[in-house]
Amino acid sequence: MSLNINKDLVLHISKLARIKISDEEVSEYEKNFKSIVEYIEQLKEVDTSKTEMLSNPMTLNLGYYENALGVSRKQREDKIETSLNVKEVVKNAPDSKNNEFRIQSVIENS
Amino acid sequence: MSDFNTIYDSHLALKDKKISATELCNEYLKVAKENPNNTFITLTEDYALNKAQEIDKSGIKNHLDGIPFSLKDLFITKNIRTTAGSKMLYNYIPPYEGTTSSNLQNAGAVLVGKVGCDEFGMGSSNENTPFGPVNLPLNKDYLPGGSSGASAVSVLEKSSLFSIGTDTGGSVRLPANFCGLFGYKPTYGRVSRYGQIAYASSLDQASPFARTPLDIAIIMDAMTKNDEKDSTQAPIGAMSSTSKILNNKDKSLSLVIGIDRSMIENCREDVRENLNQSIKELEKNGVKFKDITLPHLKYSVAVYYVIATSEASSNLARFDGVHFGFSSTEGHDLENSYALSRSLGFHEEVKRRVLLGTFCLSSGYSDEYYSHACKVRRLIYDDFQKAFNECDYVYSPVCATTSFKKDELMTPLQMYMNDLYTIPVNLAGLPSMALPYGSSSLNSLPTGFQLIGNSFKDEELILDSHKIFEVLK
Repeated sequence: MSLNINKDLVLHISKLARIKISDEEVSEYEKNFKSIVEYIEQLKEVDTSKTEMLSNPMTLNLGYYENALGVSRKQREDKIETSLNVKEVVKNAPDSKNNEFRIQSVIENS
Repeated sequence: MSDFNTIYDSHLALKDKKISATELCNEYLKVAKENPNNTFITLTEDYALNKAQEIDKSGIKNHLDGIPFSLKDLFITKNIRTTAGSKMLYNYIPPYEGTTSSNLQNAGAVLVGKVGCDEFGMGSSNENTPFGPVNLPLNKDYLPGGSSGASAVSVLEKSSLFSIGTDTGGSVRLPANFCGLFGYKPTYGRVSRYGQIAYASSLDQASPFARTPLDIAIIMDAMTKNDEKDSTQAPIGAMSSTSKILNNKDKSLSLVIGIDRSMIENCREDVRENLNQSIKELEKNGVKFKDITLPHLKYSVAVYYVIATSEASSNLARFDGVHFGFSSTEGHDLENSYALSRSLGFHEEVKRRVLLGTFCLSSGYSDEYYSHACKVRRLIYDDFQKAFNECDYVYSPVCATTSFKKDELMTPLQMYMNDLYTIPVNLAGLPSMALPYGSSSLNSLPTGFQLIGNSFKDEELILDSHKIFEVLK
């Protein structure tokens, strides 16, 4: 296998994903990742040098309804609509004050 | 208990005043309240009864008027708790309404409650959730499949006449297959995803469970209205498949159905027997089977686990413990509180997928994994397009086995392989109907197959499924 999955890589990924994992979990994820990535590696045998990416079927569907049905995809009219009021938005926040989200300190205390 | 168990028959009984909407609602609520299979996360009893009484006053007009239904707890419902089957959203009360919920309720359907699922729709067993596994009512040692397992069970146990799940890689067709129901995954872009908690946005589609293709038609007609709030939905208007079925006079099945027989060979013996039997029956009724090959489908699971996890890692970034959802107070600064809230709020499988997706998109690996997987995805799409030059539909198993037992230990990869036959459909954005057919000679559990159509052939596929159901039942 070309890729070396080790503890450092798992820890690096967990940092990027903002998910804290314990030492035990690191070994478990390392094992899982090894077998999953090994399985995914089989994709490398497919020649895609002449193939375009398909990231969302919508891009191919557009042709269907624009050509076959004559329906064009228009952008929504740019008109002002009322949105949710602030009280409702912060209602689900774990911590809020004066209708604002309250977070923990970002700058260290000196 | 009333002796009708389809939407259509219940509609006729309501219309003929053989039963009132309130009586019907009470029958289904009774089962929902007993909750014998751990189906429900949140019951909406008062809400349902109010709506049923309103309908009794205003009279029965639409097919869905007064019909009790449930929603997978991945659909946003205004002022009704929506958990995604996760500790992360345990107390989340949405301040807005999602389109799936509003479409069905505006059409007259009565929401009985919100049902369980694998957390955020990630899983094939309905076990990956802090709300506990859901029983398969046919045999309680077994699981209903997932991730929309509880939706299927709510129809089977008669706490709902229909239910809406989400199908990202087979999460509706697999439980439909395990429970002996119809499950329909629409063409990508046929229904709105507004207010559907996102797992993998290029694959997710709201998908119904019901007992007949006619019932599926009734539900789909209500779910396909244009929605300005989802730009990935095709603005082609609501379907009218119910009237197409009710007015249909042509009972013949002059269809050409493509089949890659290696798919059937790879199924367990009991499933294989029934699939071969279904093919024989269909041939007897005029269907012509044509051998096709779909050479890139064997890569589907690998492609799926790159693309779905990548999209999940991005979609689930919004759960930060600040704006809504679970928050850990242990972290002493913002960075730490993000990492702890996400670590304690998400369950194991969700963390595994977010981490895997973060890896696939991370600097140095994204071309090798994500971009390459999207190219193989295109080849899978092309395989299907080639097939549809020669046939109307593609026949495929839904799963190589029947339902599995609760204590069957599987590695993550083994679990992912359950979706081998359902995943290609989502990758290519195609519509597919899972049809129940027969039961296993090994364990008496339901078996079935799926019919895959070309993009936007939804109405044709539902009508033909109806005709097939008429000859196979």
